[in-house]
Amino acid sequence: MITLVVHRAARSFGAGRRGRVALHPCSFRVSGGEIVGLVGPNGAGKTTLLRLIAGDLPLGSGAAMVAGHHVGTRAARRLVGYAADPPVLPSELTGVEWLEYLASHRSDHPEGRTTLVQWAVELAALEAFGGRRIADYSRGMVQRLALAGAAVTGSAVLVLDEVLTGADPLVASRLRLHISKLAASGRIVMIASHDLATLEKLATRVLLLWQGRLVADVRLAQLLTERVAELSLNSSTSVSTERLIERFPGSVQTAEGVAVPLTGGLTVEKVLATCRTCRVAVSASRVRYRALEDILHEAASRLGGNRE
Amino acid sequence: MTATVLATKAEAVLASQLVLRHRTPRLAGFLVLVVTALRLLRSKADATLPPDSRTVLLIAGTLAAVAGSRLVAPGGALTCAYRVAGPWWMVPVGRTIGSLLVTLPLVCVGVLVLGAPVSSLSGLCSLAIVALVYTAVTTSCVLGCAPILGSSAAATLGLAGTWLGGIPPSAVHVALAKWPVVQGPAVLLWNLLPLNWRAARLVAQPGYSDSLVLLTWLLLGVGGAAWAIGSVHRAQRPPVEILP
Repeated sequence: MITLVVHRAARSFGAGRRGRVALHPCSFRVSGGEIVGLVGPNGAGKTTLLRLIAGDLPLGSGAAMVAGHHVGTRAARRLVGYAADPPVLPSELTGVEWLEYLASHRSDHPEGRTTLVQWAVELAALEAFGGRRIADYSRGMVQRLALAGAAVTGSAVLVLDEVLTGADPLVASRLRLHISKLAASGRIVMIASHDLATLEKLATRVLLLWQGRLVADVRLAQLLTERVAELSLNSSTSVSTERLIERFPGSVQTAEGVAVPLTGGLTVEKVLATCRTCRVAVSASRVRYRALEDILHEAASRLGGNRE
Repeated sequence: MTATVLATKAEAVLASQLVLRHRTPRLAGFLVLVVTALRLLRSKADATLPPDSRTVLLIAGTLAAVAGSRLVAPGGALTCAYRVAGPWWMVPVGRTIGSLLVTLPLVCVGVLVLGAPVSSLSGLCSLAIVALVYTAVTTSCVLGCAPILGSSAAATLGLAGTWLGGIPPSAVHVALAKWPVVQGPAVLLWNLLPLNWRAARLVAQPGYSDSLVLLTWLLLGVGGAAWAIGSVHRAQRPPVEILP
């Protein structure tokens, strides 16, 4: 099985006072068939990490290997397909010509190339505009083409940076299905996105990056075993909210009130009883599964003080 | 081997598409045809005109500089080169061949139109071979500069080498006589670079030294482009090994 191993990989840009650490040493291991989402605020290091894996950027320190090959080497690059954000494609070509070019580098025979291109066109739903010049494409079209290009070149690992952002809802659901199929075929898919709902549907695991540090590595299946009580407060004054957050560790403020993680035997009844005791008026409550957004909010409340 | 041949062919096809579909090389091609037509009319009017090798070399150099600058222009063309994994020589060689497939027919038209009416068959062949070599040298040198300098700067260098490079080193020596500090390096540079004057001399007096200099620059251009493209992937060897 293909594995991606990242061991204390780090990268900084510039030197001296103007230097900036884009990615602090981070380690993780991904096996074939996994879809790993990368989440985090802007500037968290998601794109840097993806570029390091794709071999687009040399490692500052540490190491990363794809199927036993160091990233950036010719052998590793033959296995990794990268869809950058924003995609940089030759605007002089048509979408199909671009895919034919990439397929020529992957396939040993002209017949294999044709099959590969047809497969990629279908995968990224390019049938309607594949023959048009890339210069005439919309943002969503370019991103779909970049996804197709990554699928053509990446026989083992797909590195996708914000690839579903510009796609319309119908195409996005089709792309999600195809990405899932690619993972089911044994490939590793690394996908960075700010669309947490999409990642919850698509990913099997999520890495949370914050200011260049890997702060959480969460399996999505694990989220389904955890629940959160979401309380809408009648008068969401900061005093009542703060009181609840102090009382229940791990709670975060939401737009309408507070979200309290139901851990350690805590139930929604106990939370409501506490609200009554503390004289906090609750207008509505619901229990839901823990979501990626909760993890992000928790990280923000835990690490947000250091945020630039 | 088949895979490498297929990939190199793909690079050549991409290069010809990049050149043909950009307005600047198309415009240069059009200008070349206009110049050739005008020269043709003039040579018909005056049949005693000598074979115009300098015009042919200007045509070759101009086309090569403009077309060569598009091959690995920062942006889509260069990113393509980063994405593919092949032997180091594949991208520069494939793209130079692709560019030559577009520019050489125009150069050949120039050779035939300007050289055929007044030159012998051997002279025509000599002019054609030198023009082809000079086109390849200029293309590869501009290709080598483009990833580092950008396509516009690389094209400007190529055009300067073609148009100003027609001045022989002796003329440069005389022109810079008042500035001895600059004179030496400038003349040395003029002798080292693959400029137009050298190709013109090669047409007039075929010799090994000029051929050798031009062929060296052809290899340097290809090597330079390969080096610039590969710099992204020449990551330092990771200091730690990971156990599987």
